[in-house]
This record gives sequence, structure tokens and C-alpha cells, in this order.
Amino acid sequence: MPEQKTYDVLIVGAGISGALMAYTLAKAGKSVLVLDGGPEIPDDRSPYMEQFYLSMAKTPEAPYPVMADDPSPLTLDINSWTTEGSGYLIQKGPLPFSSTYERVAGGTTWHWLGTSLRLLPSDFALYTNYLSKATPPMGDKAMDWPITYNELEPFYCEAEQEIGIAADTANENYLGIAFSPDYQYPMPQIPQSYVDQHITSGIGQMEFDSEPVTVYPTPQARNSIPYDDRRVCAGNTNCIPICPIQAKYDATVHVAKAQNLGVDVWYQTIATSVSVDTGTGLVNGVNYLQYQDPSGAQTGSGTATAKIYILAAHAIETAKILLNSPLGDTGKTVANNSDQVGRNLMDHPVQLNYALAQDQVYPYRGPLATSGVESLRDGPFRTQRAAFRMEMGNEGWNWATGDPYTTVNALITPGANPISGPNNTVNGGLFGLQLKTQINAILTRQFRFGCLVEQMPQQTNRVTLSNQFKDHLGLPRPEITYDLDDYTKAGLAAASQAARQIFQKMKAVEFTYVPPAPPPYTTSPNNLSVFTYQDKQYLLQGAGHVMGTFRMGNDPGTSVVDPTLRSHDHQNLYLLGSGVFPSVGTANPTLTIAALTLLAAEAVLKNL
Amino acid sequence: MSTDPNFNNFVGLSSILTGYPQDQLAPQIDPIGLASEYLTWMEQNADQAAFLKTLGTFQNILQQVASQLPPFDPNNPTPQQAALMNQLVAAQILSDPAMGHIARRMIRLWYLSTWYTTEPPDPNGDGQVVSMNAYTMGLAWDAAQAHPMGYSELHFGYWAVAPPGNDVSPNAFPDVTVSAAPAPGQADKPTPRVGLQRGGI
Repeated sequence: MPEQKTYDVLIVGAGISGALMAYTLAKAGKSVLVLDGGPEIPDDRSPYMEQFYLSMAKTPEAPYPVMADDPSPLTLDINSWTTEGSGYLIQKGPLPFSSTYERVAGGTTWHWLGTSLRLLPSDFALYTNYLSKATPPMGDKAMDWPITYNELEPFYCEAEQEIGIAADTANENYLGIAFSPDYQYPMPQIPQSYVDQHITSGIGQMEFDSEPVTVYPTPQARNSIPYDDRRVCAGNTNCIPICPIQAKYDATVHVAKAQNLGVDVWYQTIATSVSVDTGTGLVNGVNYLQYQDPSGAQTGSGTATAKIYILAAHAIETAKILLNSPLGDTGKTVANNSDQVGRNLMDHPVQLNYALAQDQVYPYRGPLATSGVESLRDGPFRTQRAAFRMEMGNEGWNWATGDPYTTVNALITPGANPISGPNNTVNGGLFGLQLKTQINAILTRQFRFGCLVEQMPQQTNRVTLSNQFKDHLGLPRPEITYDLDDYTKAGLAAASQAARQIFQKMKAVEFTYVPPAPPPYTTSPNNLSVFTYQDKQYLLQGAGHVMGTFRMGNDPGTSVVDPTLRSHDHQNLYLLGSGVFPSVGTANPTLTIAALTLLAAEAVLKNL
Repeated sequence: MSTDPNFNNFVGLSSILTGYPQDQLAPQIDPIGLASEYLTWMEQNADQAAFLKTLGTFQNILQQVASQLPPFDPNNPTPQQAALMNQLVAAQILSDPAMGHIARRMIRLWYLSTWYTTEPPDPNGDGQVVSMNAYTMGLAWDAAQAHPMGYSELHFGYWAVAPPGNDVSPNAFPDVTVSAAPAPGQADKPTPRVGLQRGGI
């Protein structure tokens, strides 16, 4: 173990918020220690690539180490979520929380898509703008952000430079998004795919729910020119689970930059709890465990100290650490005077709709997504139902059905029905040129929309500590209670309808398949995520966006951190990440996480 | 061609089964040697009696073609000879329960780089990706005029234009006449999900 020195700041977690914070503080001359539960970042990513190539299930986690001592949720856990304890998260339902995250340095940005949209100005006041105007009114003031778009805007600009975003402000200034004068993204925009172009011309002029349906090129954290000593994107179509050439930003970039400035990183060091001096109310240490062998026993433990403490372990793990931190003998836990720690867990539930285009659109090429319908992210409908954005995929039905494997296997198997549909005369049992021709005819026409729906915060959607289940080092595992309310479900239903209307206009043939709803859970594990809304079934999928478990606000009675991300209860404790989001809008969260980190860094520096 | 009759029969049959020419499956100068790798794999993992019977039957099919439509060069068949080979492989190998299994496993290896635990694969069943080379050379990607996800030798921006044509492109819409898309919950045939989905965006 490194010799104990005195640090200005201790950060738990080397994901994007922890790494960017460490780098920013080190640039200002501060001494920083970072604790991360995962192993040291490998010098090159070829072992991860090999593990990915050889994985049967190419899930987001496929390339990365699975560690008993530093466990993470896995995508395939969902197939048995009703069996308590079968996956890392203890899922209490009634719906499963389907998103996963990585507990390694670099964090979940190892397998983020790179989509870097800003939140809309109206997203910062969901309650005031919309929910309060519903009949009857919904929600409460705590769902508004305590900061405005304009206050966050300079930090968005800074974050876009730090991460390296390819986009053009001229194409991204919709629905109130405004940029600082003379501001431009650091790299030219990524070309829109052939699939995108086909869908865009197929949509032409159309409206949904009185709003225009308009496709925009997506701002992306991937290089369109050499940037920050990293290569240009080669279109490996593998942003998730892993970019083979690091043309897509991941937070290992800022871990390395921080280390170059003298930041210490202790790997394989798992923060377990935070200690508070109940006299002063100040945090006086972070307790940790260490291991050598990722499946072996604990090999060390201790308490790390600094002047200011920052938890950046992502929404579920940060909540877990806090809930595992008793506040002296008060019976309460650290930073939780509001009783909001762990509550309001949110995702962007995803509605997948997929179809075959009449013409060949040549998917499975380019970055996984290069465009989206962004014009439906805001409108008066938000008094009635959730907003959504429609991500346009460049990976055919890979996410939707597991293609090319599913269709190709079915084309080979005699008697199989390769693509579902009542009048389908494509049959299995093919070989030779006929097989090749049918694979071509189907796969080159596949496309899909993945609609990210804004989930309404709910007090009852929460992370608690399991009384029954511990991890390998004896730490309590997170227990999740999760459901969707009707406002959110109505958004999913509307998203499915919007996709369907686009398919009809394009004369594309839809194949969206939803297994029969449970109960009983008998037909296949795939239906464990099906729910019914207004007599129709929907298959719930997660976006990998874990948000909202320690929300920010001005009122210490209803929020955990203040508008600078500092704990209301403890003057030297900051909490970073999407856990602070009071509501989630429809932007993929990472860019906002980074912008908030830079905002908080300013406050941390003022207080050192 | 190799002097190993098993190898030659394996490549010849693979070509009929996949629709790809022999010199693409097993080039004269072959730094990767995927055909040899798959042959070894079949010898180690497939039912040996059925596999050898399959190769023997293919050898026999070549003799039938040679006697019915002479002169016959197995490496360079005429269209009529190719059609007859297809017909005989379908009738004598793919229609046979044991040999049909072997042949379809070979097709899955070439197209999907994967050896499944069962034949046909269970929709939620397991299997094994044979090797990294197998993954990066899977023919499904080529047939789709794409590249293996995670392995591209193309350059920035290629995705904005259509790929170069191949021998089946442009290709007609598959023979489905779905008048209206199945509403959620109304489709009754589960889609097998052998590939297991990605999640997260």
C-alpha cells in the first residue's frame, strides 16, 4: 500500500466524474487521492477485445473482468431477476431495473455510446413548466432543478472540450438550446449514416402529437479528427461494448491525465462507508477494504482522510456507501437528513421498434448511432405524458433480436421462421447461394428506433441495503424497488406509436415482437420484463442510465445536495454523478454529469 | 489444394453449403488457415462417425457428378454441374438426420463463427465462439455487406455511403407480405434469441 500522505481531496470512484474532478483539482495544484474498486487500467485493450470476440453474449459487460470482490450487475441477470439473489442487484420489482454499470477505473464510459446531448432548458423545470399544470397537478417543486440551463451552459462548453465532442452548433440549436456567443464544438460533426439518410428522407415532412418529426445529427464523443492524442473513428460499430481504438472518449483518458499531474489512485480499494465527526458534522474519513485476488479474500482495510471528500461511485454504489454509513449513534445515516438517499431511482426506459425498409439501407456499419429525432423531446404534451427522443440505430436488429445470429440461425434451421409475421414465406433450411441471398435481403434492410423515455421520479423507486444478501467481501448488496408510473408508460406507448407512424410513412414493414405478458413466468425468460399498459404489452429495456438517487435541490428537507453538489448535511462532502439529477429529461446523461462535475469543482476549489 | 482428401472434401462441401467459392474459404496462400481450423474443430467436436460419413458422401457425390456430367473439375464446375451438386447435397446430406446436423453445424461455423451446444441451437442456449480469427471472418457480416462488429478495416465516414456491391446485391425485398405490423402483444410466434441482446445506449 502507498505511504499515507495528507491529501486535500479524497475521491471515491475513477469514472468520468471522479476522474474529471481529480484532473481539474490537480490542475489547480491540489493533492488528490482516488480510491477505485477495480483493477489497474490495462496498458492496452487487446485482452478486453479478445474477451469480447470470444463472448457468446456480446453484452455491454462482455469485455470486462467479472470480480467477486467488486461485483457489478450484468445484463443477463434480468433473465432471472425474479429469483432473488441470482444477480448482484436484489430486485424486488414489480418491474426489474434493467440497466447495468461497471465498477472499474474508467467506469461505465468504457461502454457508453458517446451520445452527448445537452438537456433542454425546459428540462430543468419539469414541475413548473408542465407537471404543475396537469389536471390534476402531479409531482412537486423538488422535481425542478435548482439551477437553470443558462447557469450550466458554460460548464457544458467546458465539458464538451474536455471530453471531445464532434458536432456543429448550427445543427444543435433546437427547442431552446442556446450556445455561448462564438462557441463551437471542438470537432466537426460525425457524418450521418446511410441508414440515417434513408430514414430522414422517408420521414420527409410529418408531425406527431402536433410536433414536427425532425432528425438531427447527434453530438458524439468520438473523434472526427485526431483529438487529444487519440485516433479518428473507423466505424467499428462497437461503441458498446468497447471501442477497439479508443476513438470514443472514455474516462480512462482523465484518469491518465490526473495521474500525470500527480494524483494518486489506489486500485482494488473498495470504499465501504463514510465517517462523520458528529460534533462538527464534518466527514473525517472514508473506510475501505482491499483485495489482491479479485475472487479472493480481503487483504487489507483502513481509513483514508482528506480535507474534502467526494463520492463519485455512480448512482447505486454512492447511495449504497451512504446508506452503509451510520451517523454516530443517531440511528440515521450520513448525508440523509432528508431521507432522500436512494430514492427517485430513474432510467431512460427504452422502447425498441424495428422494421425492414423497402430498400437496402446497409446497417451494421459506422458508429452505433449517428442521428436521432430530437424534436419530440419537448412540447405541451408533457403535462400528459413523458417526452422521448428517438435514437436511430446503425446496428440493424442487433439489440432488438440479437442479429445477425438470430436471423441467420433461423434461416439455416429447417422449419424455422426467420422473421416473424403472419404471411411470411421466408423459411429456414436454406444453404448455399440461396442462404447468402436471403441473409443479404433481410440484414441489409434492418433498422430500428430506440426511444429513450423520460422517467418521472418516484419516492418509492429506491435503493436500499439488503438485510439478507452480502457480496463476497461481506458488504450488503443493493436492493432495488422499481416500477414505472402511468406518465412514463404513456411516454413509452407514444414512442412506439411515433415509430409505427414513421414506418408506415416509409412503407417499412415492422417486426417489433413483444412476448406474452407475465404471469405466469413460463414461456421464456424474455417475458420477465414485459408490462401491460392500456391492454397492450411492452418489453421494458434499460438505457444504462442510472440516475436520481441523491437529488440536488435548494431545500435540505427534500434534497440531498445543494446546487454546488455539496451535501446539505456535511460541509466537506460532495456527491457527483447522475444521482443528483432531480429529473432526467431525455438527454443521455454523461455530458450533463461532466458539466456538473466541472461546476462542483469550482465550488470545491473555493472551499479548499 | 491439399493432399488431404478430408480437407479437400471439407472445403468442397463447405463451398456448396455456404455459397462461397472454395478459393475464398481456403485461399492458395492462406496465412490464417480458417478452413484447417474448422476441419480440426469438426474432427474434435462433431460426432465422428457422422462427420466422416458426411465427407464420404460428398466424395461420392463428386463421383456421381463426374459420371453424369463429364468432364468435371470439382474446383471449377459448370453451372449445370454446380446445380447438380447442390441438388445431391440437399438430397443425400441435408435430408439425412445425422449428416444434416453435421452440415448445418458447418454452415453455422462459417457464417456465425460459433459452435452451439445443440443442433439446432436452443434460442436461449449456449455455445462457443471458435476463435478470434473465426469471429473476424464470419461470413454473415460479409453477406450483409458489413463487417464484424468490433472489427472494421474501413476508414472514417465510410458509413455515409452504400457499400460496394457483391454477387447478390442489389437484392429484392424478402418474401414477406405483412399487411399490418403485429401490435404489441398480438404476435404469437416467439422470435428465438440465440444471439442475446445488447442493452444500453
